[in-house]
Amino acid sequence: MKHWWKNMLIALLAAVIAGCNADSGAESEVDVGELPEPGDFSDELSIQLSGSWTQGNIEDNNWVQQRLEEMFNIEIVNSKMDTWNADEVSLAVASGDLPDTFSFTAASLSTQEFYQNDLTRTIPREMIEKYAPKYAQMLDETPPGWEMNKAPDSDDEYLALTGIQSHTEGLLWTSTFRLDWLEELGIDPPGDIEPVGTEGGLERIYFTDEAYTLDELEEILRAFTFDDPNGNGKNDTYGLLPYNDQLHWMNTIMGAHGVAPGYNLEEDGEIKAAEISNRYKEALKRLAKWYDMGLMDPEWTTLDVEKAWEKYQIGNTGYFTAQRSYVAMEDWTTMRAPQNLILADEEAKLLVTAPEIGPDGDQGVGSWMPVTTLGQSYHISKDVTDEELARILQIFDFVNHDDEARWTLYGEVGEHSEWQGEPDESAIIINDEYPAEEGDMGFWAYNFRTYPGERLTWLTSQYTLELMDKFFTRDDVVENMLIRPHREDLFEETHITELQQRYSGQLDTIVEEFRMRAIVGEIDIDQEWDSYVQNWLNNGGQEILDELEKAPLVSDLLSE
Amino acid sequence: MQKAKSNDNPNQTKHAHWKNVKKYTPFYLMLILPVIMLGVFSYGPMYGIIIAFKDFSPGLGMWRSPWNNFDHFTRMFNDFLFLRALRNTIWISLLKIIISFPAPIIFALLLNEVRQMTFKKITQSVSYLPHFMSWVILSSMIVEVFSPQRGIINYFIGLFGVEPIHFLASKAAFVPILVGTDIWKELGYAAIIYLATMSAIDPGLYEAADMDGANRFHKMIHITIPSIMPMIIVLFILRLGAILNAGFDQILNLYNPMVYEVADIIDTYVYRAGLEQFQLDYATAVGLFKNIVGILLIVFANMLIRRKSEHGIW
Repeated sequence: MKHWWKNMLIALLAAVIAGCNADSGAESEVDVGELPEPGDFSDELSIQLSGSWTQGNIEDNNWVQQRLEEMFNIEIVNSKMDTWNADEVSLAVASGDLPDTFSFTAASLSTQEFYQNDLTRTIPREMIEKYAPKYAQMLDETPPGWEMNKAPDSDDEYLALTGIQSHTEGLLWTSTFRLDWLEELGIDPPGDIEPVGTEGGLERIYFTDEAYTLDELEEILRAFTFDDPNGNGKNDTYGLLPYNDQLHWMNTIMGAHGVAPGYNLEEDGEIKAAEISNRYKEALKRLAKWYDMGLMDPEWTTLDVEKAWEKYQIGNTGYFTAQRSYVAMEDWTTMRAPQNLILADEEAKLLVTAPEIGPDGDQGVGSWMPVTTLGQSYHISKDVTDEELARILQIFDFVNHDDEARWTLYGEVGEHSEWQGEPDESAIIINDEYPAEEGDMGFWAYNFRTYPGERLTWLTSQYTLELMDKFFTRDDVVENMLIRPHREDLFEETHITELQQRYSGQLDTIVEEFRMRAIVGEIDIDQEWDSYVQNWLNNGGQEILDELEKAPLVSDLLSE
Repeated sequence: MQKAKSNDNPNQTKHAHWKNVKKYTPFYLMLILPVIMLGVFSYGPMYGIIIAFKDFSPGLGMWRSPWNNFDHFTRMFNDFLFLRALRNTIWISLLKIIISFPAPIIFALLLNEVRQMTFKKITQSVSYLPHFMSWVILSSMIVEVFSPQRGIINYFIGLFGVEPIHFLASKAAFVPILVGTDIWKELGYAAIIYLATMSAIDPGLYEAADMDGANRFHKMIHITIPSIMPMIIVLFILRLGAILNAGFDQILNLYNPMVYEVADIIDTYVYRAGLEQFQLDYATAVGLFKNIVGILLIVFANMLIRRKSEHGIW
């Protein structure tokens, strides 16, 4: 009896340890029958909801929040982190302090890694089918649907919910030229041209689905640079205005050599990263030649893309690559080149063409999504209970897959927003007096980046949709001009993500340095090429390529 | 004799010590809060260093993540880009110590000799200004100044028929620009501490020197400089300890891949290869390496200086 308290302490300690061990065990089976029926929201739950646009600007008790809280009998705890900021995301992941639902825009861990790091929980298929039927239907209708984000060694558990990126279908990027300069220089467009629209500057943007060859492009860039296309008598124009932090400026030129940045390809019977392929080398040699000819703005090495947009607006550049939504002058793109010039200079005219044709007939740009439009992951934090998950799935299904939930993105059309053109056929624009995202209205605050069904039209102007129909998503264009990788680890079955995380810092440095020094003629490309490739392989590249061999062929994935 | 006396009665010494503590009790009480803060915010988080030796997994946390047999350190010293960054860091830092460190001292000495007070105050205030601007803003100004198309420097050299030079993309020009802009930004602010030290010099010394017929240069050499020497030495030792901090903000905002070869320092490389890729454990290992080098340099520099003079930080 004397040591009763000691025995009690030991028993308590044993219970705590047992409890800890039980916690760290595998996922327990969910008895869906025990959970409330869909629509039964009798118990109030508190859920920390975040989505793809969570950027820390949300205000508590915002308009969307109040309506969702009432609909689903929940208390929404707003996440104030900026999920687009890599530093904030890193900090949140490292500390394990994650919202109940999250989908980070800033790069962080892969879906597999979130799960392996014990940061997320799995989602049973039975629960998805019961509580998120519209989402389940989307997966049924969109291959490879239920294969995406599957939990390892399980056929009916999922690591995350998957989005559909219908806005990335087809070609996104293409080439634009100063049409007023072409006219001044007497250079004909490569095919019949028609204006993209009739007002607001769109009447000065012309489109053709034909393309120049790379040799013709070279001649045009030369004329843009040296033949005084703006007629001011000064030598103050350039053909090309590249930038140093992204590769979009050269993606049509790379495409004309049959290669897309960041993708792998098969060359000479072996798998290669685009950046160590001979096709890329040829593209670099052509760009180096153009730099040597003086066709590029010499300041490009110190310009990032935003500075390049600003510089383009001055009106001294003749050629620039652009997304289809840019040349359709979507609201969110007006600060970007080349349409910023259309707004700044009433005399300026643009010609949008298909991507250039290379010496071997190659033409195109890399696809935004490597294989399928299914992509992006909506994660559920590991601490979320089954009951909370049931509620979250119903909110997710409504907010992201039910057209009735349009108010979560745009408020009430007519009150908070307006159709840009014809109702139900054009984009919806939020009125100026309301914050476009988050803030006191909470638009987009709880949504996931997914655009099923009609949703694509809500955020896409009729002009972009017309361009898509005419060219960018046309079947023959997609088939012939969309460059996909040779292999892709679509189902995260290999360790590629882990290896890329480990080595991409080194590899990116090697690639960026070589590219810039090669283009400005600091190094002889032919002479230095082999040592550059070897360097890339020795610093983790070979490991990545070896791992990539284990990934499925994209052609197989597409045929399946 | 002194030593023998102090050892005579330890109890008495102890008593004197406590008497001293009692006498200054309010000051010791005031010290408690800063000491707690130092412990909580500076020493408390240091246990995080442990992830430098582990494969850190957020789910497992710091303690349960597996040890990795010094893998990060092996990786660090097998990575030619890290070694290049280490070389660049030391070189840029040394240049800054050799050139930037004496600059505020010279500036303070010159300012100290200015007798026209309005001019002195205006000069001092103007020299402070760049310190209060972030490198994000300053870098935009620097890019404009050195622009090959719009920059004032290229405008002037163009007057002599020289073709425009893209200074910020030139390996030869980039490091001098770093050192020069660093001096420009910090010169005035860094001079404050020397000016404050000079203001504490006993005027009687200068008066005595005047009596001896010393001119202003003699007074500067024989009174001002020796008087601020302890401060110079302390700041020099502390600066040495930060030799592996070559100016992250400045370089990150000014560099580009064209000058990586001379400008990529440990911090910028780790930012790209470590933090941006979520390699927190690797970034911690590099940080630990930097700190150890810094501490060793402080200790050795202090030791060396103590041997040659009576100054030092401890």
